[in-house]
Amino acid sequence: MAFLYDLIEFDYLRRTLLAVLLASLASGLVGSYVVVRRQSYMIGAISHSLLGGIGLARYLQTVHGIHWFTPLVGALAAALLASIAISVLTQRNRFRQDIVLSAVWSLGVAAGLTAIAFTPGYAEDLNSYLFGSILLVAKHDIVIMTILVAVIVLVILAMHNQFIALCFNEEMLALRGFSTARVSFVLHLLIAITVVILAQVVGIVLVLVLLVIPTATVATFTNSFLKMMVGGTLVCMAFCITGLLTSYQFDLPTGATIVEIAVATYLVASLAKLVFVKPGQRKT
Amino acid sequence: MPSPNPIVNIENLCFSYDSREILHDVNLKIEEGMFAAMVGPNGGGKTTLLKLILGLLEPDHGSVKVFGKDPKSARKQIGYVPQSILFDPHFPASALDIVLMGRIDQKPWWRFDRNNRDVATQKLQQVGLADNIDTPFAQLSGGQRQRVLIAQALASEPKLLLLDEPDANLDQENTTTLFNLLRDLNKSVTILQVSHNLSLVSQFISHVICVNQTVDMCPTGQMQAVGTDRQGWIHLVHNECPVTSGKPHHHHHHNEI
Repeated sequence: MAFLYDLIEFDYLRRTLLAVLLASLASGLVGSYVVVRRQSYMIGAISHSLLGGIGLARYLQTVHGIHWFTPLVGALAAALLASIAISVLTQRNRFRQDIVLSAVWSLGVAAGLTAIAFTPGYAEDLNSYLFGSILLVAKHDIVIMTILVAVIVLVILAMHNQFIALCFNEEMLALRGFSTARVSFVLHLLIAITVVILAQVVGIVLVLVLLVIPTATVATFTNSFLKMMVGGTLVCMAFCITGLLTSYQFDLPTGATIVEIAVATYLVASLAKLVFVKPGQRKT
Repeated sequence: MPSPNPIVNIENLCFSYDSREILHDVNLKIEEGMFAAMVGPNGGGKTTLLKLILGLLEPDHGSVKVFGKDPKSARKQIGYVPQSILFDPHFPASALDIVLMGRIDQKPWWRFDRNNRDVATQKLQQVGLADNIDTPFAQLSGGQRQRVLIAQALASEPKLLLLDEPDANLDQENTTTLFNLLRDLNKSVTILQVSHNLSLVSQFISHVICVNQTVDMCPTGQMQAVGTDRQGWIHLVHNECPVTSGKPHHHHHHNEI
């Protein structure tokens, strides 16, 4: 296969696979909480806010020569800012969540467009940020992604039981002496970090699918949270690699191909369950 | 003879949501060893009263003391079983995982240690689910799920157990099993619960509390009559109290497998 041959030949393909591995880990681990807590809409808001950070980064790099402020750094800053804003504003129903999320969503895109307007010659690679540019992941991006995944793993090891209790029943968590505001804030930060990592693979617009569909596919067949995490990671890797191979072979847009494969698999899995699992044993 | 230090002591309590007064001038003492059931019409303030005892709500007026302390600092000694309708029945966890959540203040890394798992296992045995320790929550029947939630509340070794409509959506057989269990638990834990089917549970409990904006308590022995679903009233020593019986969705049995 051309891909395997090129994999040995080209450094950037090995980097791509490493990026896929890191992204899949983040998706499987954090996606499990998102699916159980039904917070998909929040991912849409955070992912679109990334455009503001990326636009700012490109502006600072191009116009002011601040080269360390890469699009990945800008995306990370925007995601963290967005998740902090969402956590603070929706706490204790200060503002309605759907309104806060809509505002963050659109404001992020608007800020990005404004920054782009001030940046000469930027509009061409806008596509790669919106729809993914996995084949363009740079070496220093991989370093940052590795650090981010390490942070996710450590936080989950320390707080998994609190996250699970938060998803199961917030009141109970509060009654056992925890601040639900603080626990959900940390979970939002993890979601933000994961969105940034996944945006490297499929781009801002398509992140939602890659963060939710792998674990949701596994969840149709299991009642175990651990299996959702492990299975979600493996399934996400399978989606990404098949998508990469297919797009590489037929010269298709990579992010879009990955998303199409993911959604198609989810549909087939749900149908298979309807057909093969007896109603009495059905989970949903 | 009331003890000088009741487990729950509510004095002159008033509470309102926005401008609507839910509870007015409530006085209530729950003594150690009681098994009390709150009855009353919907919106009469039963769940609100539970939340005030848990410190999840603050009274506008008057005071709530639990074990002589502010409810928030007494929380560690309280086990709470919320209405089961609030839980996602498809939550991806085993019965043991659900019970272990009750011991979350042990702050474990990733997995609970052997000691905590042993305690949780023992609580599942106590509620009669020794054979279902690893069963997924989604595959338990409604009655079993309710008992898992009780085991979760027991996992923190409480002295006071609060339950919000534990008999909702249970058929008569499951309700009887549940109340036999609660009567057993009552030997070591004081129990206060919201109930609907008073005619069925009155044989198990020690006190009936009528909650309808204000509160009256009476030992079951002194209760003159328990209203049937048709009448929907109970007659206490001093007054009468409407009861929310005859609500159709509480008599469905579809949740039982």
